[in-house]
Amino acid sequence: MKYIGFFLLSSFLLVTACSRQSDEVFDQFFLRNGKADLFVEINGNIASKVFFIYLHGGPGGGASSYNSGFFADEMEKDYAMVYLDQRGNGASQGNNTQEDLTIAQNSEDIFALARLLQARYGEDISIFLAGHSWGGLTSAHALIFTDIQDILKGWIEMNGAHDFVKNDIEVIKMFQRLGQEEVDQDNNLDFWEPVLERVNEMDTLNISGEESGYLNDKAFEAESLFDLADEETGGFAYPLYAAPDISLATLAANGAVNLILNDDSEQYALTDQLRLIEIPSLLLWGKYDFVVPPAIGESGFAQLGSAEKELIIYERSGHSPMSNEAIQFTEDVKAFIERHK
Amino acid sequence: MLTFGPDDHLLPHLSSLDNGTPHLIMMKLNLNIPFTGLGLLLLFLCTPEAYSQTSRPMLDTSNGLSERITGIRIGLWAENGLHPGLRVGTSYILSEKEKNRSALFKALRKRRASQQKIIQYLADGNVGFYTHPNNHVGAYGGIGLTRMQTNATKLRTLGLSVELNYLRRTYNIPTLELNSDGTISEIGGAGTNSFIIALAPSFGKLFGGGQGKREKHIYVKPQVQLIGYDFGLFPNAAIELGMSFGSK
Repeated sequence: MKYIGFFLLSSFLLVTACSRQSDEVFDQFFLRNGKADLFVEINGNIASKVFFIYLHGGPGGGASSYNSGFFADEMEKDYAMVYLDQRGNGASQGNNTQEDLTIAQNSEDIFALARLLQARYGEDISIFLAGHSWGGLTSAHALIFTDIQDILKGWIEMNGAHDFVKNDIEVIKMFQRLGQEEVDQDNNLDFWEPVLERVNEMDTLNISGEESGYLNDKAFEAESLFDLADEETGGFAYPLYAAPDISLATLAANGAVNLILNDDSEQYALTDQLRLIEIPSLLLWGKYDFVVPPAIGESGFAQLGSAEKELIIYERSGHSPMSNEAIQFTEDVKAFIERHK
Repeated sequence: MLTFGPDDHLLPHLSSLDNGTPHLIMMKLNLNIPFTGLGLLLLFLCTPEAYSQTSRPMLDTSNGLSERITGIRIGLWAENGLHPGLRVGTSYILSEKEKNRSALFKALRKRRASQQKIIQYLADGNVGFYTHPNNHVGAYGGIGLTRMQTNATKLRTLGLSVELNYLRRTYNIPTLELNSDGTISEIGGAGTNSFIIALAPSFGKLFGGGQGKREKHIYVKPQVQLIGYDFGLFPNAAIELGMSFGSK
């Protein structure tokens, strides 16, 4: 009998020892939209009545990756940060089929979240929509194909991949231009020479999936070869056992959704449709972003229909300027919000 | 795999998720390490024994139900090795036989004592729960089939189970729904259901027993699972550290 008691006591202690995030979580819920249960966490200054919906990269990423560090911590002091795991991503789950995992349905989710925030926190709140990387595509898609602009104060795109087709072409051009400069200066020849040889053989009118994967893979590697700033303070949003999106099944599902949503994302070359975005917009890019080159931001900026728009290129940043030049990046985002809230 | 996500340094503990290749490696590990381990285990279990042996059935078929049901099992359960829970179960002995093995050669027989092994086939019943903080509480129940080999000389056990469980995940944070009139409803007891197919080796040690006392069996039982999650079937894992009482 004492053994049963030991096991029961141990179990009780283990179960009750589980805590939530170490810093205070203000609101956390699943938003049910159709068959999807979307994981949402809201941290920070809810009293400010400014809500910043932050869409993660991927596909197959998760908001918990963005829920810590300098930018998140500083933003949470002044605003309510709304971290959404987009459908099929992170800790979001439900009873979906693969057919439910589309960019179009994802946009309906984002719109539903914005309306839910209004219903939960009041019609007088100010909502901004931000997306990093793949989140740039999903946020742009929501702005263009739903009525979400009616209830938003502004859009912030951070190194956003709003045009998959154009993106591959610009990555090749960037590799050719900066890669040749590096070769001319005898920098990291082991990396640049074979990469240049490979990209020079690519037909920009017919880039295969395998070539696209190669470019994406080498892009992350390439930016690490430059002298980028690193102002990230790091940190973990959760202890491992309490992280909402950590389990093998979740990681495997996130891996599988990458393929599904990448295929769907390739249908949307949104550059030309950015003229339909009319709310104030801020585009933020790292100069050395080989994953989504600054040229994507520049062409997007030119097409934007917003009367108030701004493009900022960070000179010592790659794909994540909110990490590389965190201080200036945070100041720029806050200044934009203060102007338009 | 194309990935447009944050850099490594942005998410120290999840960087592998967003930069492509490492994630693929993780997937490979998920699939290969458990299956490789299980493959080796199966190979070990199926290797023809290089001993002479005699075997005889032990179970008297005239025994009643109570004779065939083993004692209760109770175990600490960790879904993915991280999310704690508890599991209880019992087993029904389908068949049982004893093997006495001694070395083939005389020279070896002098050095190695004969070993007595008991091989049982068990039908198992299990129920359990675990909690995944900030996500859900899982409650499950199901059946299994186990081949349990007990080395009566060394008092060690080696088992292999195939299980089929039904899992109910109940979210442990609120689930909200936006109604068409713009109001919010909270859905009570929201969650998802799925089946779990599992393959689980177990390694144990018998102790106690004798002098009229009931025998105890402590074991560790890792599981590789195929589990329904969101839009498909995906690999998962769990581990059980347990004890059975009055084991047969």
